[in-house]
Amino acid sequence: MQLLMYILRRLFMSAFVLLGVAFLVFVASRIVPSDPATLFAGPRPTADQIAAARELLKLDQSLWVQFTDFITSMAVGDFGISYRTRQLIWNDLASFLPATLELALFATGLALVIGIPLGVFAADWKHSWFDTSTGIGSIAAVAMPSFFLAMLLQWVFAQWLDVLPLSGRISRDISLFDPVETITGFLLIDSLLTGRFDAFWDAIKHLILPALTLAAYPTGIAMRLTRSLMIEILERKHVVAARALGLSHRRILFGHALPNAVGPALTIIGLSFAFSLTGAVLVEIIYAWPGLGRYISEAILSKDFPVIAASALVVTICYVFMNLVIDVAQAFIDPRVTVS
Amino acid sequence: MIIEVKGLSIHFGALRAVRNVSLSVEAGTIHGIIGESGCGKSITGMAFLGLLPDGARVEAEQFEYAGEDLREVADSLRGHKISLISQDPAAALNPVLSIGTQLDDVLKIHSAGGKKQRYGRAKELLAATGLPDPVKVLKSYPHELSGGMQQRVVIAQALATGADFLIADEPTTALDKTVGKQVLSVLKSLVETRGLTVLMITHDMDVIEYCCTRASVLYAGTTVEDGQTAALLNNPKHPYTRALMNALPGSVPKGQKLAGIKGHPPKPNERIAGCPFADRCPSVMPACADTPPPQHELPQHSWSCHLEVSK
Repeated sequence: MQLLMYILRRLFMSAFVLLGVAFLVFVASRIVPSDPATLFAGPRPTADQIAAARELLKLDQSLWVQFTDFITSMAVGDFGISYRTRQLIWNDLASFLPATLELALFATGLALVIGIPLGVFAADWKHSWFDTSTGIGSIAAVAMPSFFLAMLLQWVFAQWLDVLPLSGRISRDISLFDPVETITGFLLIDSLLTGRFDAFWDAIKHLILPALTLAAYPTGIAMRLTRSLMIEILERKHVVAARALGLSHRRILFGHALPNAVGPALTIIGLSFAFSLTGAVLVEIIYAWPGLGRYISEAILSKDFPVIAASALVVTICYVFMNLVIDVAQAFIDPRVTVS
Repeated sequence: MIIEVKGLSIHFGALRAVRNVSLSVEAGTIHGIIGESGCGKSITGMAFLGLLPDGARVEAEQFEYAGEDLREVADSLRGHKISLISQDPAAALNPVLSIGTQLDDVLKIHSAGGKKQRYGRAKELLAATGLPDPVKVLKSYPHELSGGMQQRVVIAQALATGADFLIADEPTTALDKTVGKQVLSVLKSLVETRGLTVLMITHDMDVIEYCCTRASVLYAGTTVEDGQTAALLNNPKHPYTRALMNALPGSVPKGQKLAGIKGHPPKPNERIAGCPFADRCPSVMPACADTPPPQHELPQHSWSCHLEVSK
């Protein structure tokens, strides 16, 4: 009951976050010193063409009308047409967003299952060779530029060992001659839904290197954070009490101490998820990943406002949703979260 | 005697947390350890559990539980024969696990039987500590319980181990006086009905008076006086014990200031040549500074002081 109220409260607040972001996007698109009508009308437009574009885009209406128009069309998913490609933005997002989400979620999952356990063991074996080497490893993972790590991984796993594909999302043999039917846009899910295990395995292999590259930073951070939290928690009185009650070391480590440390680690990983949605441009370029990062950066360079606005909103929704999931997960782990 | 300790000292490098503690505890009784903060009470308690911080060195002429040397067997007895009731119940319970899970974790190790039997046993143990609604408590999280309830849960956990010797490290300090008294009476009745033995660490003479059969007074990591509670309270011999008694509310008429003990106990890194209490003692004499005080023995009462027995 308490949990349900908490989730509803969080949902209510999320709606305000979305409204705020929509407002900021609208304001930003109006104060940038360039004329949308000129951009829309194409290269070397005549005065008539610009005037027509102005009318079509309703730029001659009052700001208030423009804003309510913007909000209502965004609310129903009518993102409009790209100035640059004249394509429906909805269709572009429908193909780019799942690719990015698939990559970001996979990378975030890797950060969770690698970073947190390594942090736990590093704390347990404090000052051992394991602690020192994972410490150095995490610093390297955080400090190494992603393009460099990407090339390193490509060189080792694609070039030298030749066990993983160099780039792309799926092999050409499959995408050209025997494509997977698109249902959700997530290749891993679609291939499973249609029973295409060959395509599933192929997609996984394509996912590993870019996901590893993207996961390096959050993994390193989560590991160090978990380690320092665990070291502090293992000194707490309830851990000493658990020892005095005869509980096994493993049970104390994973059953008693870790649930106290997971909350902050989850928060950090959630933040890095947001980063990997749009900030992964370099990774997407190097691995030729047909994702949102590249789409957005190209839109920004050509001042393609409808695309920027729609992407910003969609990314915000994904991020707010991810945050909600993490908050609910934390409430499950630590019941004190739902109080207040 | 279930516990025999003679000349126990615990060092951390050059620091002497415990210098010379001797006590013996009779099975089925509550034995008090009383002293100011920093006199080595808690460290002594942790030594029984083998839970001293890294780098601790334990030396003793005798340090035994039921005839076994605790320096060797503390790790295997911990949580089976010897357990702990911690000082601050709010901190001693894991904030993110339900009481049911925490109690079940202990029962899983110590009792055979399936989930259902363990659940029944958990209810039984909580009821034994005087909690009125065990089913509800098992579903609760620590932050949903009051301090007194939390402390009862901690006691139930200690009972769940099946240990017969419990270290109670200031079990009432974090509670208010009335609730503390209720918790003590629960402990007292458990000692009587289950034949437990309890080492009661406290800085409160009232606690000693209320529930301990016997007590040791610790000062600067040294046992300065030891005896039956009645002898200790009615006929304190060591000036430090007397000073502790005078510091009790109720020891002076209403409106008058309590007599505190001036100064601080010696630090663990100080060397003590004579009597550790010499600097603060109202009856100090020249011998106190450099000669270790002699041990005086009466039946059921002993103390170490330069003052004559007659005085």
